[in-house]
Amino acid sequence: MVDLIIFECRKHFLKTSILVAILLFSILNVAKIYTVYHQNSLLSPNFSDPKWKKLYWEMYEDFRGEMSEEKVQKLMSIYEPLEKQTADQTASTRTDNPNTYTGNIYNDFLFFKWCLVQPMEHAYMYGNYAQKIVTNAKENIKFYESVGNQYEMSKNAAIANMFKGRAISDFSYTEMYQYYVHYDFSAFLVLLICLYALMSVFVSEKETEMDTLLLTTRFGGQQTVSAKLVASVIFIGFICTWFWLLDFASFSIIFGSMEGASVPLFVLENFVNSSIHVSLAQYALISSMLKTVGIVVLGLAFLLISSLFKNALLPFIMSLFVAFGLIYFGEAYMGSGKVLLKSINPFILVVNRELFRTTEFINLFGFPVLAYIPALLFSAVWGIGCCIGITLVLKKNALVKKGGKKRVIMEI
Amino acid sequence: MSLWRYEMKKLFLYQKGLLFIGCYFIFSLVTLIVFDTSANPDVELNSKPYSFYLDQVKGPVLEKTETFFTEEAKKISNANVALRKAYDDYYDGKISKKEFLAVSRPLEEIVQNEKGFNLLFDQYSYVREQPDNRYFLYTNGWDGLLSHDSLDFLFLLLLLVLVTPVFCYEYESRMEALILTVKKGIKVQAATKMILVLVTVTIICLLSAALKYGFFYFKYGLENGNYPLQSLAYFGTSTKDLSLFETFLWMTACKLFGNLSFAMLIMFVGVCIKKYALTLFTSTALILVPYFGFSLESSKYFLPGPLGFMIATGFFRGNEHEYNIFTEQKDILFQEISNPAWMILSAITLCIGIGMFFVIMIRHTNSWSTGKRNLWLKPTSLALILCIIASGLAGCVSYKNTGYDVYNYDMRQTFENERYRFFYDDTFVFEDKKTGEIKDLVRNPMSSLTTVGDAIYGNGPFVYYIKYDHDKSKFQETLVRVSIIEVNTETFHEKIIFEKNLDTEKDSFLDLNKIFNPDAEFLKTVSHFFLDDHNIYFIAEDEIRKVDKRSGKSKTIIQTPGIRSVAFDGRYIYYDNEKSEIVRYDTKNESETNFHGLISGHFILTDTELLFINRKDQQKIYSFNLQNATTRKITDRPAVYFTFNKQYIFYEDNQQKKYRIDQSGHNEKVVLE
Repeated sequence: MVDLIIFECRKHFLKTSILVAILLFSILNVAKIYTVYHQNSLLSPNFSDPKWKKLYWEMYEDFRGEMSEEKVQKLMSIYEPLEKQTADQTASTRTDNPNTYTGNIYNDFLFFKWCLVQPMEHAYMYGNYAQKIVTNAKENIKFYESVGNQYEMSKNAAIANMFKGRAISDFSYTEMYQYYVHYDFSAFLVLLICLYALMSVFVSEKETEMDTLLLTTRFGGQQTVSAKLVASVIFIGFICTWFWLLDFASFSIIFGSMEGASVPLFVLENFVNSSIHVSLAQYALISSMLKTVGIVVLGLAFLLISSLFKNALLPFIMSLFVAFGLIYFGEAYMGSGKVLLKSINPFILVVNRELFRTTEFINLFGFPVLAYIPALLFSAVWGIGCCIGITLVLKKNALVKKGGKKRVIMEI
Repeated sequence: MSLWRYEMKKLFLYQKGLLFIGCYFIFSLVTLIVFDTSANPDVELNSKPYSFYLDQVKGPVLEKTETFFTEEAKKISNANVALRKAYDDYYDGKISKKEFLAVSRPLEEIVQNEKGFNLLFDQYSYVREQPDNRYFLYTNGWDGLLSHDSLDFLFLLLLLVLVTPVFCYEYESRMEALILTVKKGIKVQAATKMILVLVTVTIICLLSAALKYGFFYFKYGLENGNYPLQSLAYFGTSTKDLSLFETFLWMTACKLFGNLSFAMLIMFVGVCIKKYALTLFTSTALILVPYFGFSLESSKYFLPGPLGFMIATGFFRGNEHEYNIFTEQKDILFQEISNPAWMILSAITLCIGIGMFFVIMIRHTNSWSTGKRNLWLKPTSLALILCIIASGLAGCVSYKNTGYDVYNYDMRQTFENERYRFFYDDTFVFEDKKTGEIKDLVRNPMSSLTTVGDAIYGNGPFVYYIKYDHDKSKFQETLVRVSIIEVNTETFHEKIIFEKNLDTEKDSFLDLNKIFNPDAEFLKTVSHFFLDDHNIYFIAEDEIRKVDKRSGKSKTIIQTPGIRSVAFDGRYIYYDNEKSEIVRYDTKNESETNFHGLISGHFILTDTELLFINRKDQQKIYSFNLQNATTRKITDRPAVYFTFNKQYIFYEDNQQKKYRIDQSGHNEKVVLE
């Protein structure tokens, strides 16, 4: 079986065209990440004064790590005078002021405000915010108990438990992770490659009419189908791993930092209400794994479609149509509170920040279940459904082609 | 001739080309009918007053235009003041009805077109910036036809499904070796196939353009096609000296050229690669990757190849900038494609197309194909094609209570049901009537990234409030979604009954939902609402808009300047119009009943009556019985303002004294001197 899987992998995926496509798409991906940095980073020369980047890393050395009272005082001793001087907009606008860091007092003020004070304030105050959530949730438990709402009680108990003791102790550079977790273009490229690579898995033998012959062999039929499915999953796993690693490496290199790996996920302001308490590096890993699962499910759907046809023309067009349809509906419910409609779409796993960005529950027989669990379950159902579909379709073809009920096994 | 017939039969019948073409046109038409929304819905809603003024200034800005707008604005403003005075005098009994009618009729004629004037004045603000090439015209038709830059995905899929099998079908069935041995099977057949595809694509493309032109012509009208292109705001900064119709023709020509190039590309890739999957993948990737990959909108037009031409609108747009608050400089949003650049791009694309034609001819020979296949050619050609993208990317009837609780605009921050009293105190809270305990209504423990509107609506045990969701995937926080939440006050369970995306530019995968959303700005600013089983009614300053809960489609149902009082009982909406008359709008029949006798600046609806300040009787409080249509005086003193709490009426007279009186008009008592 292992040999069969290796053989299938080599036959369908070890093609020059696929390797070239991977290579070129990787270059495109890096170029795209560069434009993300260029357009969004506070430290990119396109976005701010070129002096900011150098100054930031100098200042960062002083303020990184555990947020002590001393560090906060030190930062405020720089920031507060700047705030006072610029408050009434009457300070000098000269750009060569020797008493400033960047040459201009307003520029200094914005630099400290956006790059250091606001992120540090968010990190410093997060403990209070989490405590407030716990207090609110505990009050809610009492309240819902008084009105007899068992579901909301359990939900708030889960929230209280989830946010209990949450705090951010360290100050760290997190801009790289902020844009990394919101980056999707590589997933689109992976989808395109999978769309192409998976088309030939079942179709190639039909095109050459080898499928009939294949059924006569010892490992034909079910075992070949299983080997093809396993080989496809391995390929998707490989290609996803390559692109997700490339994403991470490119973001780290282009943003010039790998800082922040151990800081909790909720340090990112878009994730303040996140349902998982993991570090940014752990989240990057979890997110990549789920993205891969999402692409595997979509890949199985492509395989199911392709198994229905004799050549790649219509399955390719239909798979593209299905992929765009799923993306369209996925995007329509992005940020939506209608969690069921969101999690039923396997595409949600590809943009899985939608599942972890906030704490959302689904009412499953009266029990509050965090949104990512049904999303995973639904995806598993879709995936298994596609596998069963493929098996049934190919079995049916085999029976029809043989014209009989039983397959003849010949020893050659 | 038989070769032509055979190829046509193969393309259209055997490969089901006609079926796909038919499906494309049906889908296109259905998409246009279902999804098309006018670029400026206000113009459609006020088409009569808008046309009244547009007909007077249509065309270029003349010397008299400015005088016209100044005088007309003055005339309308004066008429409004005079009309208000006439109404006041009439309601106060200072003038007779005859005198009032004599004064008000000519004034009403002037004022009735005010909304149309305001819309045209907005257009004037745009036109006067560059009066030389910006003309006044009705823009919705032309905007719908020209002002968008989305790729026609259905057409893309149609081309793929139609053109790919032209050569690939024979490769797949291994017939090409046989065909190449036939006399006409070499260059004649290749040329026949290509010409047939190019002619077919030309016909479909022209028919598609004609379908769109026809649709917008019949739906909106496409008049004044000879006016300059810059008359449309979308092309406002363009430097192209073209009329609207010329632009349409050029755009169609560009799209035709783009689609023909794409068809050539598919055939070229097909002939080089000879496999369905890789041909489809390469062709799709060459279009979709740059389409979704480029961050700057104009970048895709600078890329030689079919993509820019397939969209085409960008070739006619001008430079667009956006002020960047961080750098305090103007960031480029769209870079104009100059005529020389356009010509170079066309020439390069044409050369590539011709090159592909010859390569197809050369490759489709028996001497070339036999055993001399270069194993590196396939990946090399793929690499070459994809490299092009990589290099560029860095850039008065019987009244029936409807069973609903009555909503009054005046009490939009309060609601009372059997058990609780809800009111606003920095946030929405409720008081348990039995215990007097006060608790929060909105019980979401996580307050970050969400805000709650300052109005509620209640009906029986259900209370509704508006929630706004924010996104902070980038540096700045943006409002992305509005939802209406239903709270069942028996269990305090929350349910989303309506939600709408407000920001299409937020972080998303491919931005496929980037559709024109005329309601977004409206929903961002409006927070007062009431609802029934199917619709939500939003109250703005001068209109009430109905939004379908399921489909999200909206429609302005009431337009009146300066809405002061609104009430809703589950079926009828009561409001005061610009004449201070109380009007009843039936949400089922979409009809209006005007209570001409009821003149009020302020009213409150109860379960059976309308309590109102009667302008016709010195601002005294009256009640109008909705069941028998009788009017009854409640107070003898004039009132400036009043409230009602289901038991008592509290009012303030012009001496700022506050009184309490019961609904029947008895037991009057001073509550505050």
